[in-house]
Amino acid sequence: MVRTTPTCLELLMVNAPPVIRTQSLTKRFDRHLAVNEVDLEIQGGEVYGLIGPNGAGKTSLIRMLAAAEPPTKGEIYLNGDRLHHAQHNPTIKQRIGYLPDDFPVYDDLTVWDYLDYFARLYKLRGRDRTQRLYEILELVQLHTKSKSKVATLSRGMKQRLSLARTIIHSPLILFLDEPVSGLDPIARMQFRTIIQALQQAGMTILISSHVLSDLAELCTTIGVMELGCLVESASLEALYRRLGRPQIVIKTLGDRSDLIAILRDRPHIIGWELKPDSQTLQIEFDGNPEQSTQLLKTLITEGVPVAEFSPQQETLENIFLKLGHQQVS
Amino acid sequence: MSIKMPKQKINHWLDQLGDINPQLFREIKGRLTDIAFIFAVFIGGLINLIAIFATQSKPESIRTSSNYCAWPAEFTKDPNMLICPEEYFNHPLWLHDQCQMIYLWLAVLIMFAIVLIGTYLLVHDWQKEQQRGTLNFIRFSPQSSRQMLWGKLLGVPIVPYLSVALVIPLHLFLGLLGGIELWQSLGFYVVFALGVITFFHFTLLLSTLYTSQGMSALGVLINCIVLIATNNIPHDEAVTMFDWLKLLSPSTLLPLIIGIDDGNSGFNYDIYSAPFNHGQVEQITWLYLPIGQNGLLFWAAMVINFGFWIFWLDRAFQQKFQNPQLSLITKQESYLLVGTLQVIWVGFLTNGGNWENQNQLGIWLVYNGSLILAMIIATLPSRQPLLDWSRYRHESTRSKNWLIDLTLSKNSPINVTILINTMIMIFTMLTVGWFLKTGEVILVYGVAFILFALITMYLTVCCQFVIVFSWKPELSFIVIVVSLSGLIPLVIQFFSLGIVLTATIALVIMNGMFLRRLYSLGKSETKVLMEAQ
Repeated sequence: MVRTTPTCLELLMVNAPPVIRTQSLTKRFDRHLAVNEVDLEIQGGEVYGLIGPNGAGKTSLIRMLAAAEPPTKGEIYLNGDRLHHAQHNPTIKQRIGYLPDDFPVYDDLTVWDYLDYFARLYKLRGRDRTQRLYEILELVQLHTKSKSKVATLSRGMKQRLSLARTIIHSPLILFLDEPVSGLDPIARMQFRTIIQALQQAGMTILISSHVLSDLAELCTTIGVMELGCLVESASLEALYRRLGRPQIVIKTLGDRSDLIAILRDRPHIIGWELKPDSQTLQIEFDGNPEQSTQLLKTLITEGVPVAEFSPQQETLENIFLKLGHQQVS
Repeated sequence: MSIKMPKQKINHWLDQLGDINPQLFREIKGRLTDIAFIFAVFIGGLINLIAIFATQSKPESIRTSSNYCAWPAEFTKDPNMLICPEEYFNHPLWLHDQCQMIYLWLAVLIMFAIVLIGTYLLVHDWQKEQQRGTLNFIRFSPQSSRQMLWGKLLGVPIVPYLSVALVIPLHLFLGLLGGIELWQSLGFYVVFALGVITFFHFTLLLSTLYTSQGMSALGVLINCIVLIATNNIPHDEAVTMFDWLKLLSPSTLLPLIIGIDDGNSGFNYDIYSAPFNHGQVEQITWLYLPIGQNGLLFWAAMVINFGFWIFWLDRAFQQKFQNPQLSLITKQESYLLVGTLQVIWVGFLTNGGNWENQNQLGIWLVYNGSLILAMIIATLPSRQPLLDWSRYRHESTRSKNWLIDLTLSKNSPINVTILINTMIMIFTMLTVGWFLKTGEVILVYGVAFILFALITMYLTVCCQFVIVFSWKPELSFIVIVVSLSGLIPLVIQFFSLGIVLTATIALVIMNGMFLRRLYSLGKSETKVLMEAQ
């Protein structure tokens, strides 16, 4: 049964003003147009993934949103308040956390002192501060390192420490610029877990990354930047629906030419790609699940020895490439 | 237990301090290690010991002619008695003067130690933070940049502060023994503290502008020159404009505080043998007000002067720290600053009617020349905001009037601003000249002013040329030198109308070239955009 009436929460979400909103946001560096008239809207609680090739303007956009760089033109509204770059904006700064792509740290301090200093910068006082420090160290899995000097930490640990510093004051909005670059798979997984925990805590997160598989797992919405323009901004679901055709991976134990001959005459099959093992085909399929079941039945009826038949979602990389962006790093 | 208690108290106190100023907390925690603490105490203790020994170092022999020899008047003419007998040695008077002298030396030592060591530590730390990129964290935090700055000023030189703090009680005590009242010493400390803040602000601003490695050495050198040079400039009745420089060093107050309210009739030693006596500082006047005659008045003048500089340096620093692309001060602020300084300088000029003295004009030109250079640096927009201004001016909701835009707008070219500032300077001098009814020198001054204005505008255009053409530093330097060398005939042929006219035409052409370049930069980008659409 298909539900058509939205719930109260959904209505609230739709009617609530966006937590991050920009209007004609533009940034130039000399004659280079880094960000061009970007109109962005991000709702509260969303995890917004920003993708695009190098030099597309992702970092410039994030820096402007995080009040680290003044825009050449345009307006930024964070949680409804206009961000004036010429002013100090203490209230807005208290609401945001920003992790830049480079993450300098004070090597001479211990992990605890480092976080304690930032907690004080963000006006956390007394027992609240101590409690928050314990919580945050637990969250980023650095509680065993609290007395170690920052200089002795590994790159992944330093990156987690930087994230801890960014979220020490429980910001409403979090800007993460390439947070997993240079991390090994385990560290990336740990980082992803932390982001998921923050998402569950209700933070609105804007994250830019070249690791699209991570973003596909984390994000609710995706924005694609190209030559300074925001060329696409849609929920991941809508993007998959619109651009991501379902795929079916079929592996046969028999002759692959028999399989191809059968597939050639079937409806809803747009094309296929041969996998390296030469027995597996990845099929682009525009039918619904019932029609894919029908396809499986046909293959079995036709006597094809099917070893694997798995409907899959198209990857974010493919969708990104379909959008015409060939330059993913 | 007894050792733990004060340590706990210190930690508690530090914790409280950290809530008020996290930056100060971090600096103290990072720098005041056990070794640093012991070192600071050792140095402070050593200075105390040396000072105490100095008070005991009685001279081996004193001549009968000395003020410290209470030799009966009837025997003074005895030519055979040259050495004062021990029983006639006026020890209380000698101790009084000795304490004064040690007081002065300690004051100078404290001044140099804090200013020079403090400057070095601050600039070094600042450079390190800039290179590491950690200053951005503070920019992103809700803490104000002023709070961060005070954290740095108070926290980075914590070790020299501690050493000096240990010397202060003895310094005060020696002052009391030397006849210097407590309020006088405290007054000196206030001026000294304001002076230190001014020096520190200045050097930090300098290292925010230029992030080269040698900044810490340059900062120390500049502050050292100011402290020493201001002492060595004598008061001259003919060139009273120099007296303003005296207000830039806290040590100027020292001869006044030992000279005023002293119970003794005059000094028993040669005051000019005292360190940093500043020579005839008591003769300084401002707007006919004898501020040098009255210690309190002079103290107030110094407090106002340092307050003035702290205000402007702090303003420039905040603006630059918040947004490195912005100019140090706005155009409106530059008019206010130039105007205020003209009033201050006129006050030193009008001393005994020396307006017609050519040297006074020379000093005035040097002061204003330096000021206009500083104004060019302070108001000059960065390349990016200047280009953005040229591109987006037509979209601005503000005034479309280009003259208002050039006079008041934030990132517009500074030609009009510098011209207005130059006019403020010239107008002030002409008004003062007219007021003092010295019309006969006005003509000479008039030519000097035209020359001054031309040089100023040349420099302004040259600097902006460098920005819009984005030349390499070497090429920029060559362009400025070549452009300025064009002014040499103008300076040599002081009264030649032809040369002045030629220079004016060259200036107009240069301005035209600059504006054309700026216009083309804006236009070309618009074309690119239109093509893209």
